[in-house]
Amino acid sequence: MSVDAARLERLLDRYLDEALTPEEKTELEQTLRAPPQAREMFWQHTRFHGVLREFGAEFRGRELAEERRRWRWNPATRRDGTPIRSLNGRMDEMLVFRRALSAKEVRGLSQSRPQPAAPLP
Amino acid sequence: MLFVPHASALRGFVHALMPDFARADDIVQETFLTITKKAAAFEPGTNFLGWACTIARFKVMEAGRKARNSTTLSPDIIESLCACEPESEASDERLRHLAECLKKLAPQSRPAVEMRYQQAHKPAEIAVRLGWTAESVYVALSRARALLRECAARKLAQEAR
Repeated sequence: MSVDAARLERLLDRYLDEALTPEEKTELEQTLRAPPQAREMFWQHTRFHGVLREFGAEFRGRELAEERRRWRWNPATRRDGTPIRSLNGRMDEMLVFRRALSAKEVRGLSQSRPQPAAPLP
Repeated sequence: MLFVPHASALRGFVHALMPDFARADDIVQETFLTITKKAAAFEPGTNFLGWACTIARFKVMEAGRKARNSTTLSPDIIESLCACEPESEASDERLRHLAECLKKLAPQSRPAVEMRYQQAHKPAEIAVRLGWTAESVYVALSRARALLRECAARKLAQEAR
């Protein structure tokens, strides 16, 4: 029995992209049961998919490590990589943050502060 | 530890049988734990990768039984595929050529490939993020894989000459 290579390739692509319908899955499994060429093709395609993922994961890992390194060595950037304009700008940001924090603390205190006791009649 | 030099080949084997990257990573980790637990049962000098792949194969079949969806192949198919699994190809060699081959991708298919293989997104998620239909993502990924496979094979053949 010969293999319809184009059809098998399409089914393998759908398998790798997690897009097989139940009918297509049955068709793929039937094709893989019969001739050894189909199983060879399966390994060829799926192993390459694995190589691509390996490459992608390595690349992503290097990218993240580089991002982290840049952030560590350059405190004038935020964690997302956007630059903080100047030291003064940075101080301003810290000041705004501290003001916001103290305003919140004051609000919190005013809410939790016990009310003065009502004067005795 | 024997696991480290074979980790890449084992991951490749698991990705072939489990296309869902997140689940494949779980299976590789579980396989590693089982190997560590059963290390005493391994006979030095025998095929370590074969032993590790057998453990991984059972993990894939177990995951398939639990999930019962169309992502995982039936256990009997997995068995017959593993019975004729060819020797691992030079994946390191292909990895070396991929960077160059990726430059040949059509600019419009590159984001889909990056999202799929670098960020491990599922095609449905890629479709939403790029504002494409799911079918166009499948087509882009399929074409890109074919192009990259041919490119890497051609470069390997050129080197062998």
